[in-house]
Amino acid sequence: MKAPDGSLDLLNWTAGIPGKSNTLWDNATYPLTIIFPEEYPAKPPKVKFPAGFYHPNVYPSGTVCLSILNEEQDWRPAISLKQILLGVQELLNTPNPDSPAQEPAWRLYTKDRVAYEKKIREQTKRYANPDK
Amino acid sequence: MNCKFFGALTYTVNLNLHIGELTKTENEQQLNQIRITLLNQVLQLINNGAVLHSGMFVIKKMLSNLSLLFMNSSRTWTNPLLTLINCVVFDQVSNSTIANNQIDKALSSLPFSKIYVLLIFAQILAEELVKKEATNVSNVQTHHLVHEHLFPTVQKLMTSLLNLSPERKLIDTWLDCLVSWVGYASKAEFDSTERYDLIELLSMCISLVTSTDYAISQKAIETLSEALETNPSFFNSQLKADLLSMLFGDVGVQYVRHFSSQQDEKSVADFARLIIAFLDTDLKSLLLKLNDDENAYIFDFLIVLTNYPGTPIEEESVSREFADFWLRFADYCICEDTTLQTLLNDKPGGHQALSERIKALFERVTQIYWNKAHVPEDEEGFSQYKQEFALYRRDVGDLFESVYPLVKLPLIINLLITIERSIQTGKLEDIEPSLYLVTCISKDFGDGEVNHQLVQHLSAILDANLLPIVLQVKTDRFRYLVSTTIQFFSSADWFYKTETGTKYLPQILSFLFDCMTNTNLYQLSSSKAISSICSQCRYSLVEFLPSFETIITEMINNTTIDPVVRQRIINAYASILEGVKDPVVQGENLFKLFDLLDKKSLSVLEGLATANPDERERMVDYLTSLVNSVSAVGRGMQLPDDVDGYYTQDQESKVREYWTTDPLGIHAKLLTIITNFTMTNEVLSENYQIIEEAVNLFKCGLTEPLPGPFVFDCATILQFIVTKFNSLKKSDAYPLLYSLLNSVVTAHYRTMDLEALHGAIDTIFLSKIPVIEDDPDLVQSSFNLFSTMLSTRPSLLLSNEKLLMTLLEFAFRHLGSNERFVLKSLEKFWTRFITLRKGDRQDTVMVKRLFNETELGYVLTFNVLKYMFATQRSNLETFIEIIKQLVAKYPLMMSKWLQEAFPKLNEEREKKIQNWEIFVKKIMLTRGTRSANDLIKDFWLEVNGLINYN
Repeated sequence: MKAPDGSLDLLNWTAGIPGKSNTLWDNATYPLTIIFPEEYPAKPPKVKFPAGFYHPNVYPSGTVCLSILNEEQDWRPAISLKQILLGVQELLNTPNPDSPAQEPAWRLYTKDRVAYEKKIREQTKRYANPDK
Repeated sequence: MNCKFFGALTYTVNLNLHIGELTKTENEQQLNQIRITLLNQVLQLINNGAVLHSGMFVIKKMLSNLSLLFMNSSRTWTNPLLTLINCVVFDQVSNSTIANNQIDKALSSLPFSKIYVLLIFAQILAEELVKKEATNVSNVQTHHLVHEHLFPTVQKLMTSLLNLSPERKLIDTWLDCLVSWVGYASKAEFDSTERYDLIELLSMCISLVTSTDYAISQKAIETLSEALETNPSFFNSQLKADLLSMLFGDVGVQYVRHFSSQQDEKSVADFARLIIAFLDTDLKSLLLKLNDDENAYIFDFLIVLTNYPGTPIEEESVSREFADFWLRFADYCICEDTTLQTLLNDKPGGHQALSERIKALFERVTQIYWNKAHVPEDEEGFSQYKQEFALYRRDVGDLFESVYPLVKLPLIINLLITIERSIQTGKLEDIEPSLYLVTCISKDFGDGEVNHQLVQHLSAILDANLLPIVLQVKTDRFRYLVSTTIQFFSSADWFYKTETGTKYLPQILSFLFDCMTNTNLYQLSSSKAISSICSQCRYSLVEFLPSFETIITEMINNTTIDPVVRQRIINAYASILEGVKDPVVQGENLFKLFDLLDKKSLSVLEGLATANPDERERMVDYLTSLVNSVSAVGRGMQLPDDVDGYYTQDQESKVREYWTTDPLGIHAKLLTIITNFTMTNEVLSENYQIIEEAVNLFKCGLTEPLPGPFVFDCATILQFIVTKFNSLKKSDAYPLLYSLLNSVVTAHYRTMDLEALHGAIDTIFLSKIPVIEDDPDLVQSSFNLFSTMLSTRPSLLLSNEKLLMTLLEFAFRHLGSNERFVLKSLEKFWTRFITLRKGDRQDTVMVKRLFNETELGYVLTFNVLKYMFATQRSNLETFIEIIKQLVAKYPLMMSKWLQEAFPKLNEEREKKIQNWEIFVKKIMLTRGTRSANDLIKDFWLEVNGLINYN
């Protein structure tokens, strides 16, 4: 993100995760904010989709629940931003049902895959790429 | 040859298998023998013309084996390259040694084919060294030995070789070898204190750029780029000066001219990459060069390269290489502005002059990229590289955004003027890239950045009929113009926030509605733009409400409209309604909306039963979208979090009165819709999504501080929960109803009618325990509900003895659950039950009596221990928390419960728990503080015979 004077705010980044080709998430770009703590890289950045983002491993606030982003789990200072973004992109189509972060998406993902996929398709339209 | 290769491969496999053993001191002789054997084999191979000609892959494998040996015995074999040079020169494995300073002489006696092998070996060694994974200590030792022994030989070999004026193939390998050694040297410098001097080799590489053989100079350019990108610190100031004069002097110009005339764009792009890698090493110096007219030729050359002719991506990639560079340079100029001010402090007006030059430079750069940002007209060809071009344009957009703080207003104003002129002259193809770039610059404009001039120019474009023109040309050829116009207006909230901008809202919305309704192509983007505008400008759009009526009717009546589009438009409508503070106007509009929705849905609902499966699926989707829209209206109309001051006192009392009396019966209308969707229709009554939306609809009003259209009384919601629960044939949707009841308790725990609540719990829990037990989701949902009661008003639960007793038994049983989420909910339940923080005196007395006067405490302790020792390590936390709370809250009793529980537990266990008495003593000493965590964890490990590796 940039301050009004054009200087870069290095602690708050915005990004877009393109859905992987040939998946339900394709043809859309999902907005993401990456918030770096002062202690980065000793501590991991917080990665957030918009609040209410529909995915089993995304908290209602939009925060992504991913082991490599968890200081007490797999975070290592050597993990690059590229690895994080690729990890989040991978997570979109391969949720981890063992680490639920929101009930609605997790429940549907584990119990009714057809209904889950329908919801994802609807969300994809919401974030569809402009030229599609 | 394949047979030879498999022989070499067999060496590799066995070396890898036995290298650990072989490198032990006692096996040194054996290792030496293997080394001699391998060297002899290599000699045999390179003396065989056929192998040298077509079996280089075999030789490489053998060299790789030698490298593997070296890597594992570098202390005793410090210079494998020199060993091989000796072997090759004397054609035998001998003890004679050629010193480094004799290498040039030795090489002159060898044929190029053998020198080539030596060079390949030098390259393989560097590559294997980079790949080597080792401990820090051994790494540092290896780096030291390589620097002291091996590298001087490599350097001598390479310099001597180039002096022999070798053929192109050898120079190619020489350059590859250099890249490998740059890579290794960089790693060694990072991992150790060794410092490499590559100046001589890099200088030779620079001189290769001037070779008359363009293939060699191409390869040298690639090598230099890689070296600069890998570690620019290998280039000292002299090398940099040489590079500067070469790149921007005659050599560079000739090079570009030559390859441009050959239409070899790739070679020019590689040259651009080298220039960029070089300039990136010292942006400050480049920036200061801008201050001196003598350096104008450098910037002119950069501009010429950036403006390389051709369509980006399809015909040229030079401008793509440069887009990133210019962006970094722009960011550098912005970030280092203060430093520049200080540096130029002694020259009056120096900083100002430099700023003007920066601005002038970027005006030239942006002019080039404006041209390059035109979408190619050749539709068919374009589809081949459309996505790549979109990425290119995104980079160009980022560049404009970065340049904006330097060039400031003129950048965006010029783009707007271009649009205005293009409208006047009919040059429509110039509108799209200009608008695209305006969007990139302005999409994140804050309030401080909106300037009167800017607003005026945008108004002028709209006055010049931009929107009608775009609508007129809504053909395939101008698809991007329509799409970009929509994108622009989707993000131009800075414009709508101004008084002038507000006047254009009707025009813009009509344009967007037109795009949305007349073709499917722009439905998603235009509905998003409408939704965004209505949300941002709700207060300015109240007058626009009547115009919305027609479109809303269309949205509801037209079953083929995409559900996302329908929800967005209804949401947009709700946003404007939320901005209306008069409840009468709100009520009237809502009534119309819900009435229309009710009638339309009824007619579809009637046809559901008789529809064929495909039709039915479409109808269900449509109905889901309708009910989703209703709950979206509820969300859209929620009052702001900080409601104080939102209404005047007079307005607030009007709102209260209106929604309490509800003259149009909107609450009843909503309930009818909910009933029609969730109760009366068999096809829909089990539909998870429909029930979810009904639940969301009720939840919308629960936290509202004032009465409103979506605010229902507790009894109504409880009635819905009970009725719906009774009507469900499957348990899938039970958690939704639990969650709704949970929210009701959270919102209304103070005033809840106990009888009604217990009636509801009777239905959803007590009467369904067998069903609930079978589904961990339901177990979790029920514990969440009861935990909420305990943490808000415990008497909601404690006052019902039958419920409490059943629940406690249920909670004991599920301590044995294998599901982590069930255990987590159980942890919440038990810790809240034990601590009872929100309990009044009566609640506290009751729970204390249960623990002190009944078996509850003992049974709980026994079960917690029993299941804790059987659970997996990751679930341990749940049990630790419960034990800690028991120790803290009931210290005396807990000691007794533990002393009774362990012997009883040992009776049941085959493997007895030892030392439990010491554990009990220690745990009681912790008083339930954090120190208990490690204690319990260690005891759990001991009981389970495990070791703590932390």
